[in-house]
Amino acid sequence: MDIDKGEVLRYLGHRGQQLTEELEQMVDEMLELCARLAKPRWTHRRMSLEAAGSPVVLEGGALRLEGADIAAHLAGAGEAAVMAVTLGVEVEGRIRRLELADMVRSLVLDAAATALTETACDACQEEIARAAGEDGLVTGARFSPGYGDLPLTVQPDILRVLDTQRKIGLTCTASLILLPRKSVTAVIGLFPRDKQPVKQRGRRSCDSCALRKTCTFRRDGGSCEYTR
Amino acid sequence: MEAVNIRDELTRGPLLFDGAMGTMLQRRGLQAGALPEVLNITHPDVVREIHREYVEAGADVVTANTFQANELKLHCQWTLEEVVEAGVRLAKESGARFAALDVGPLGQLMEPMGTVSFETACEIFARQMRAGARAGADLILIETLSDPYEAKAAILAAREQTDLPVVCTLTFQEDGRTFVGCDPATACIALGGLGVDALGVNCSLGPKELLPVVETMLRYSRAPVAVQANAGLPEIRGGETVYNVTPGEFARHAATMVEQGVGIVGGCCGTTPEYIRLLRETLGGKTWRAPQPEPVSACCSGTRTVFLSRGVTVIGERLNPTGKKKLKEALRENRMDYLLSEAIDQAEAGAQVLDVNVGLPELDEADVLRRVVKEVQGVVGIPLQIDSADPAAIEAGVRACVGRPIINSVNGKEAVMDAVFPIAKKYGALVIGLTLDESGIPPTAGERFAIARRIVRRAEEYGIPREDLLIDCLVLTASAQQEQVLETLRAIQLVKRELGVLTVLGVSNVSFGLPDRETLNATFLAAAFGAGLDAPILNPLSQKYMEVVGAYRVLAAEDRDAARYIESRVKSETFTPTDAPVQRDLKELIVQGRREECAARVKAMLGDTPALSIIDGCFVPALDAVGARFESGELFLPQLMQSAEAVKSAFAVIREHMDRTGEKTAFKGRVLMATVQGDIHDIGKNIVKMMLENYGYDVLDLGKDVPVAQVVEAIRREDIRLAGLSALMTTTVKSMKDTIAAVREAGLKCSFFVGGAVLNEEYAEFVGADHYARDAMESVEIANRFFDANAKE
Repeated sequence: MDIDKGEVLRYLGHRGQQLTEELEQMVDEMLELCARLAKPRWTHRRMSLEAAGSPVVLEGGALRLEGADIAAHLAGAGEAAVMAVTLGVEVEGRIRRLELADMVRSLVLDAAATALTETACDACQEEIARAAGEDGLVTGARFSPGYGDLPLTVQPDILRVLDTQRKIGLTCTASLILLPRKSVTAVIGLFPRDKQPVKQRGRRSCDSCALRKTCTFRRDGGSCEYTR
Repeated sequence: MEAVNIRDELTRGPLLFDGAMGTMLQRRGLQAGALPEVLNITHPDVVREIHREYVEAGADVVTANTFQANELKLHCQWTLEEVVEAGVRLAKESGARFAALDVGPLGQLMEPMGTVSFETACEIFARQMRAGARAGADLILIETLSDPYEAKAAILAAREQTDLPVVCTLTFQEDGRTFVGCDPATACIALGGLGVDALGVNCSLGPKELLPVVETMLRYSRAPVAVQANAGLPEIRGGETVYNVTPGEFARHAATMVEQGVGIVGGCCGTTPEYIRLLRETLGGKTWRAPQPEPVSACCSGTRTVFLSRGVTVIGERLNPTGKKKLKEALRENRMDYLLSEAIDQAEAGAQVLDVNVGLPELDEADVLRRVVKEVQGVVGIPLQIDSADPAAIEAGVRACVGRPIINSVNGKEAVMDAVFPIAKKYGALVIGLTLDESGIPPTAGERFAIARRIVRRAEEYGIPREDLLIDCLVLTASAQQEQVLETLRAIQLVKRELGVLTVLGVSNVSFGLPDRETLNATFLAAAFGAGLDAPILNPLSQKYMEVVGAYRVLAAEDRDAARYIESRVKSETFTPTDAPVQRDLKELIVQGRREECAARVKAMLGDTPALSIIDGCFVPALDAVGARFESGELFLPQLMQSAEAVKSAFAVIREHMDRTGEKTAFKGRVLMATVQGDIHDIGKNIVKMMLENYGYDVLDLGKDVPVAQVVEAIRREDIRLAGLSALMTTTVKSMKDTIAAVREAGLKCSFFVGGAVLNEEYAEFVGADHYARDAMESVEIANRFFDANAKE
């Protein structure tokens, strides 16, 4: 699975600054290390969507999603796919170890792992889209706990319905942090071809992002990968 | 049934366990995601009926529906005890010969990757074990675990709380490792010594895919091997989850495993009574033969095994405060970073095992050893050697180890053996025996051999086999007892020949009091290898010693085709030393982030420049310049960090110089740093810490996930005036507020600056902080302003 170097640099705050050859080399080295240590794993499950409204009720109550934003996100969808992705603990162990020996490398490896998590999410979403396509459905955008007003407190429920600990080794702490840290959970609407909301055909906007006030990309006049 | 009976049966094989509960419940319409354990109370008939179907299919053991009944996972209107009692009762009511308490993973990751401490895990498991035993379970099945540390906590809890037999199975993925990277051999070495009655594998894959894992376990497990595979891999067909291995195939593969020596079989996800029935039938015509595991001498971390019997093993000696001023200070001040850097340096230099000794008279040795063991195994993936003279500290250290450690040490004194061997036995640790006794170190090889023989015999009386022992024939110094130096080598030869046990030796003592100690030590090391030394304890940072080790590995045919030796030679020939005279300006080197050159330049400057003027004249202006270019967007974070790393390495040179000369530099101020309770994202905090240190601040780093009370206590005790808190999650910003409120409530005068991804000015105000730091540079500015203002007052 490829790691997008441009993305890694962007996470590190790169805005076209001149890079020395050594720094370039080091970034390449960390990308390689990340690819070697990370074990991208994912699992997903299609769930039926009960009548629209808030909370969104999936699979007869197996999962409830609170908040107006997720309800809007899934409006018009016939089903939803719930997904979870993780890179595993090994790459994180190395990030931690490098923090003590070489903070720069640690930082770059961390960014590489973040970029790879996104790539893995895309791969998972593609898998969902392929299966949904066979049934004549198209996928909307990913929506994760913490976006908009979808509370993080739903995280343990998502992990439970996907049985993530058994399947991909993903857990969450009492304070709702996903562990391994380089992990994502998300909900995707599956729409009949004619019912997909226009704005979900591209990337999503900053409006529903919980980090919009503190986002360093926005501060510098840009935006993150979801909105490009 | 009597517990004694099943313990016998576990060794007689084959014993048939049941199949899946979860998939059976789903078939009866149970929601995925709901807690199946609650059905023990709400739908007892359904649960009992599933057990009964398995009994009718021929299962000897049924597994109670208690997998998730631990206090982290079980959130319902009934107590854990009620759910477990009902679960075990239903299993017994099914008419099964034996009912097993089922114990699954905690559901949260343990330290160091997660936040559940080993002690907490032990307590949580203990409650589940007590409830199961009280409910009348015949045995305990610990299953689907990925982390050997978690498995250790569960096994210890079972053994400490009950007398029941314990079966423990881990889950391996396609790559042959568990989710935390544990391979099957390491699982056997780590857990085999903890007194389990059977060890094995369950879930994740079908029986065919699990075969390589099972074969490895049969080779290394001293306990009977258990296998409960899935019915292959799940596939979605027409919206239904189906498994791709038929009952017939499943039975055939499982029966083959039994012929190879697997003593316990059953099924995991996707298996049904039909699978178990066919398996029972197929087993009827098969003969089981007891496995013959290889007797090995091995220690391990959670992810790696070191086979001491397969070649020379280097044990790193540097985590020992004896004669090391800096390590002593680090231990006293709880500066873990220093210890961890020492650990990483040794591992990277080629140490395969790390000796850990924290014996300082003013410290609570057991407590410190426990903490250091946890920290060190969190960053280096190699086994540890627990080094102490205090049995309580040894037990604390060994207990905290994720894998199988070596205990350093016992000796020929009866009282010492009686205190330490039971610990080694309980935790399955290897033990070093020193050839000394009540009358000291005997002068001759023959006498030392006699002590070694006594140690081996006493160990065997405690049930510790000789492959778990290493004998240290002890080195005397050539300067004081020159005639006896070679006695040590003769003793090694005797011990190897007559007792067949491994030998270990701390070589450095031989040169005490003489010049050029490295040459003497290296020569002695080579001679000791010749006498049969297996595991030298030495300083792996010494190039000379590691060269001797590398050369000996070639001569002893351990380094096949001299591949590693040749590779290391080629490397060192092309190596150009970086500490050649450097003429460039230090400030420029810092701006360019050239670490090695900065350190070398500072070393050269220290001859005629006072440390303080290097810091104020070069470090600070260079960092300011880099900081300004970072603020303006001319540089980005990695470039700022490269300069910071360069200063950090130059600072290390200055500190070393000050230690040597006694020259003192006053710190600009003391700053406490912590990532708040519940949060474990600390990379930002660590960056800020490094920047502050580079600017001459003394940083007291409390780490991550720091309890509120600990921050309050540290601020009070150390009289801290400025503290930085970090949090990454919206959920943990609350902890930040609580922490600050608690400090204010305690009446302490301390200013706070806060930072982290979700924070902003508004949040900073919300949590009651005095300052918001957008990035690391701003943290430095805040500290500068704060201490300047304080100085003026």
